[in-house]
Amino acid sequence: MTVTTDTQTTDIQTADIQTAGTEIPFGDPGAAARPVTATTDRLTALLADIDPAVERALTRFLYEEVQVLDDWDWGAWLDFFADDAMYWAPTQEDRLSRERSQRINDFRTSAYFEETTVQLKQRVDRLLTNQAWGEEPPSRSRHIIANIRVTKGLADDEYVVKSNFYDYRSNGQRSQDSITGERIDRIVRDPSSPWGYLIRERRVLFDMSTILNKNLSLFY
Amino acid sequence: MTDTASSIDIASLIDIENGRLSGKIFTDEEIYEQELEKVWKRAWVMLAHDSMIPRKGDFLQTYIGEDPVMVVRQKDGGVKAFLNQCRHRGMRICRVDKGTAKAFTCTFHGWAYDLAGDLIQVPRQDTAYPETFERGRFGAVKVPRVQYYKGFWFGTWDEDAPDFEEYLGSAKYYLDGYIDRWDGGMEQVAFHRWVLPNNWKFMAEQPTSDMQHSEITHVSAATVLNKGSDAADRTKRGTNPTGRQFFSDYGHGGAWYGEKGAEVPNTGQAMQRYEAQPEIAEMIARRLGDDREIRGHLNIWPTFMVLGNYTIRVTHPRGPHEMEVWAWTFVPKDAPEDIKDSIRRDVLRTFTPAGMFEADDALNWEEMQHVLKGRVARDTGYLYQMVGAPIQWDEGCYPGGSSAHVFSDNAAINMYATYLDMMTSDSWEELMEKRAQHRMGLAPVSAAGDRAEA
Ligand code: FES
Ligand SMILES: [Fe+2]
Repeated sequence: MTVTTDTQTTDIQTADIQTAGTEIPFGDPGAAARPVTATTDRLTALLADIDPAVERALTRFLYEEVQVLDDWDWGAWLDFFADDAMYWAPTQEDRLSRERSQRINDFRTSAYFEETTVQLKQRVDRLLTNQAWGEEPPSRSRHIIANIRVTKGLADDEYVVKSNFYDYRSNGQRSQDSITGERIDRIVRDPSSPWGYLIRERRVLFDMSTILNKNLSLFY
Repeated sequence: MTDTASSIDIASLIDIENGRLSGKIFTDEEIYEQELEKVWKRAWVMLAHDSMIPRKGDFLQTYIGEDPVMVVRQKDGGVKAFLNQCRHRGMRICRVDKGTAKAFTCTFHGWAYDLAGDLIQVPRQDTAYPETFERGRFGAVKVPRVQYYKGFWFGTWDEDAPDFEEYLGSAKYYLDGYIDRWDGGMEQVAFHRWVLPNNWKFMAEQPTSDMQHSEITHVSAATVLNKGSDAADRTKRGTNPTGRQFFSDYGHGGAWYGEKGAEVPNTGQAMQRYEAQPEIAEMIARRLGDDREIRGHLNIWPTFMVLGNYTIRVTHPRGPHEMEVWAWTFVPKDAPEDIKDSIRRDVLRTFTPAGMFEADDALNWEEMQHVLKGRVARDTGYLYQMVGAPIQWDEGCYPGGSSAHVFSDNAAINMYATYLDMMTSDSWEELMEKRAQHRMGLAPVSAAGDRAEA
């Protein structure tokens, strides 16, 4: 694999990454001049796996996706998903630390969403009837995506992309709410997609144990 | 007589005979305080289902009204419930939703309570408390009446309340139609909890009575839902749907589409096929009798709600302007996995905070609540004048008051008649007497007479 730095291009082996490197103290004036092989830390290893251009494309892909949602273009939103995609959002509850592993519910148990692409389309079609009164007139929403972390998935051309979200919604004259959480997306390279990529799976984890919003009628 | 002497004459706000309510009952703080006293301290409230706390030491935290309550499976298999409030300085004893425990230790000064809520340990008792200090006197406040009914545990604070089955009255027949269909019982498989910015009575009224809103409020969901999924085809009810609405003495009510054997259940298609299998149909008929094809909406007053696709919920009031919805998905325990999964997915896509039906109800209630801020709006009054069909009592196989039309306000107005009687009675004895007199459509409604005296 190849890592590019300002000064040089160095071929490194995975084995090299895993061996402990030279400690570089913060603020060491000599650090920038040293070859990148010296910084064999975890972060370098993570980044070395991902082509920076791919990372940039995936980041942009997610920004475009939420822009489409905020433009009320719910139909176009479906183009971001593979035909066999799974979109799900488990519920979570308050548990003691020692039972913390049971806090988030497993797939196919308790969920706010558990949608195939066909079912997602139903939700979109509902909004497009113009009689979905909860979104008629439509909310103004602002999806903010941050902390995007791209890692390699299991298959070729497949990436696992984690991100955090803050989704604000204003509807009617003065109703407003917001919700935060984490998304874990499995995204594949697919030239048949207008975006070049498709979402295969999205897990949305809302941070609230009691949803303090009147409903979850948009997409996350 | 009452803790919360109210300057509001509630009887002047509820006109049963003419089907009119004042908006004040949904917004007034004093009325709300009186509800906590007269309704929530007195009614039976669903606390838990067996499947939520299966093993000894399993517990969950819930509410009766605004009061936090611990519900705990005891070592002998029974269930006890107590106020989730430390007797020392009033801290919440337990702060997680559920789990398994041997004891509950308050995180403020360490007082510890056993599974029954009895105080078992007080740090420094030996050295710092007088010898006269008796731990036995300071157990958590017990829910004095806890009763079991077909897998569910119900509780009330009122020692003088009638037994739960008597409280159910004729609603027992209809409730059994949902929860007693299966030899193997039911189990809870999903839980959703959310907050709505409206008075708790708006939602209670809906499963009690209001099937008609569905045609308008839920038109978008009904249009798309059956396409390409296992959901029931909710558009098949036609332009002139048949069905029935019922109500019973303590404010319970419900309504359903269809007639015996020709009904369109709310469950998904897989579930409909499952129930049509001869041995399953035979089991249901054996348990319930031939006539019990009842699968619509039901509310056991105040807020134990059952919908035909097995969403079961309790709402907890949070002041006049807010409530919490606690909604569980139930499945028949012995059903095949694909049937359980079909029910689970149908509920999550329809009647959860992300549900396509639920989303639109929330909007209505939020707007109604907001409009009530207006001084004129609050006094305009709401109309409950949809008759449906004439009221019959204990007609044919339908116990209680009912009318042969799925759309009617009768059950809602009966709910508010019960509410009025509760709010103006100081004891269950007085309440039972009033309810016996005020049987809508049977004895003359004398609420107007009471109003004159009040
Ligand atoms: S408040 Fe619970 S121990 Fe003090
Ligand atoms: Fe509704």
